[in-house]
Amino acid sequence: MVDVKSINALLCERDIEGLIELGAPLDEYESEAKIIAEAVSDLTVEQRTEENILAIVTVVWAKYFELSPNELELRLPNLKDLAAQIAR
Amino acid sequence: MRSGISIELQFKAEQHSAEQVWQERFRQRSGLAHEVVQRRIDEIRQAYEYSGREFPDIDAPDTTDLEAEFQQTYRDMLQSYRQQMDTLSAEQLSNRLDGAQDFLSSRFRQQLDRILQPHYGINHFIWSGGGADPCGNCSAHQGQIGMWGASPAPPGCDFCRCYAAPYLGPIAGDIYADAIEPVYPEAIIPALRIGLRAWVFARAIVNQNSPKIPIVGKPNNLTKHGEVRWAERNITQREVQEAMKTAKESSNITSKIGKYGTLQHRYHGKNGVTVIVETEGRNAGKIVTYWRN
Repeated sequence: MVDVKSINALLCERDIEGLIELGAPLDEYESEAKIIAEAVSDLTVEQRTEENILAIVTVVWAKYFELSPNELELRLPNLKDLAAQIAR
Repeated sequence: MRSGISIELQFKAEQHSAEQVWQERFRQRSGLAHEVVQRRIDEIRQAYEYSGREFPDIDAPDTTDLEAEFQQTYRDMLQSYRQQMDTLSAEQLSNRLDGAQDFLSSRFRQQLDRILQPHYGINHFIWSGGGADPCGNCSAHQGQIGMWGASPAPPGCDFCRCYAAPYLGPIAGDIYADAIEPVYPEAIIPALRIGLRAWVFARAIVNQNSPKIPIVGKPNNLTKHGEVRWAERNITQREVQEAMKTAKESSNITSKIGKYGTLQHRYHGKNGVTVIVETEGRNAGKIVTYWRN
């Protein structure tokens, strides 16, 4: 399984929603980290492409932060970088 | 049978009366735009009351430009009918003005609903109304629930009185957090440069791995992220309300422009709970997260 802690660390570092900056605890994105980690773990090695991982992190973000397409688009650069980091 | 003279007199009386109708409309309807805005907000308030939820304590969005545009269009419409006063009876003029007013109000109302409902945290609408004789388009969509910002958009209607009523009722599959099924992310696939297959695959795989969120005791007006935080942080609705109340009383609310240009309020409750509320966009009025200090 992909490591939840390292994905959580990446999410805290990126702080896509700016909640850590507002003072939220470091487990703020932990549930999203867990879902991403579990979903990525369900992929076969061949399926762990940047494209599939980007789809996963975007679905998680759209779903949990209930974003409109415009709002999601503003976060895309961060989500793309995140997907690239996880894929490495 | 009326004589030629009496017909002429009657016609003049009607002309006078038509002018009176026109003048009256012109005078009375100067505040129509504002009236429509207030009615739309009242309807949202009623939807909250009906669902047992609290109407979000946020300022109304700025609709000044839209109101001015509507008012100008309304005045132009009245001016265009002024030229017809010579040929129309008071009743005819009154009927035509009613029709034109309905048409303009309906379009204005649709524009307002798109702004006001998401602003006050209403994510879904239910296609409603239409009176006794809805048009075919509206009949086909009656009772359908849609999501603001999603595809397909509200049907839209210029011909009858159907409209997107605010909807805060249960959504199929909304009992657990894993079932939210907005169609809208498809709209962003081109920007993502990922294939539809990858998207559908990801959605299925994420839904499989999403935690179940119980509905019992869940505070109102949370984002899904907030719901998960609620389930994991054991902070009750009463504590959240207390935090927001005491923060307001002690003016301990800080406002900050978030990373994407939206204003967020941070309530520092005296009970040691901090609550973050989004004020703009799809999540306007919703609690994004909270924590114990």
